[in-house]
Amino acid sequence: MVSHKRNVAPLRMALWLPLVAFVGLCIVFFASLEFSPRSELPSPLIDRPVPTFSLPELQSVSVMTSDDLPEEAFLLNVWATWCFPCREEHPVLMDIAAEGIAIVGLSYKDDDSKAIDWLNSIGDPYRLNLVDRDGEFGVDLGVYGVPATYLIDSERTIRYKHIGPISSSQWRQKLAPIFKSLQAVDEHA
Amino acid sequence: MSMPNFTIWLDRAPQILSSVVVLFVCATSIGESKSEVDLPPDLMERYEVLIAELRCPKCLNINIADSNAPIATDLRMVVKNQLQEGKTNSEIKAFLRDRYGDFIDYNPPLTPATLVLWAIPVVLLICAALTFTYIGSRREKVELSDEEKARLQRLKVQGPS
Repeated sequence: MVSHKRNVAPLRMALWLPLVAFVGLCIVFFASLEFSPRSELPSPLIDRPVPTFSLPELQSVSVMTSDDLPEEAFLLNVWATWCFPCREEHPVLMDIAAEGIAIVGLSYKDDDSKAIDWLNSIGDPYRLNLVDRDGEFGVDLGVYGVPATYLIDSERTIRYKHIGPISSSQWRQKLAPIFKSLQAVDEHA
Repeated sequence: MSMPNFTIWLDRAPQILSSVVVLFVCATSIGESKSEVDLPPDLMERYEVLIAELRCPKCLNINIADSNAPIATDLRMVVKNQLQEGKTNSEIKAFLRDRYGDFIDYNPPLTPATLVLWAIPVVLLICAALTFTYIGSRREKVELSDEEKARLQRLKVQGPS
């Protein structure tokens, strides 16, 4: 009888294992519900070249291709007049442009005349204004919401994607350092 | 005979009316989802399968067939156009995965990350099998002494006393 009991004791302890595992899983699941950034998809375009395009320029309507992109590191900002957060982001873009940073604007699924009015009335932060009327280039860029901003190096490789409007603090704390590192690579080369 | 029947129908008028309304609404919504694209039947069939299997990148856990997000509409058009161009289902999916990542596919390819998902049930089954064999082998080890065997025999014959 004594030997029998000795065998059973560790098994008794093991009976608690499923409960412990269950509670552990609950904690993991609840934590991931709270903390995982579900609204942002990782983009497969990171470290890949900007997709080739031929798109009209907003004001002149002349056709632009990848060759017309800036030769230094730049931002590609996807925006629209119907996009409410874009209005919030606009002054930040003006500040970034004032620092001498090249920004390419992509007017996304918008009315051209509304886009031109917007730039004329509240300012044009863009060095180049491209038009994607039906969102086809947007699909190539993996855009699923506006605004979206891509950080692109002088080799025209996409290095970072920011989803949603850029706030001035996000620019200062997160995006500007990344962008500076892209510029720094050019200076050393 | 016909009079009582008539009153029964009158009593149930509200239910009948509401059923008709519900049926009408269902019928029109089915009609709407079909009318968005116009494809020959074989392509239509593949179209419906594809848009049901593709996930809307904008919204959480809804396919592009059921989503009203503008991007879902755009992606449905991409699927439609590529079907008309004669692309295969896997080519269309690869095109979208290239741009939106594996997230877009409700039936994602086998990658190191998804391999874990496939492996977990197998690993758990093996663990369970090992645990049960272990418990089983422990049980068999309990052997009765001659004295105990004799007592067990007595208990079987006489019952507990």
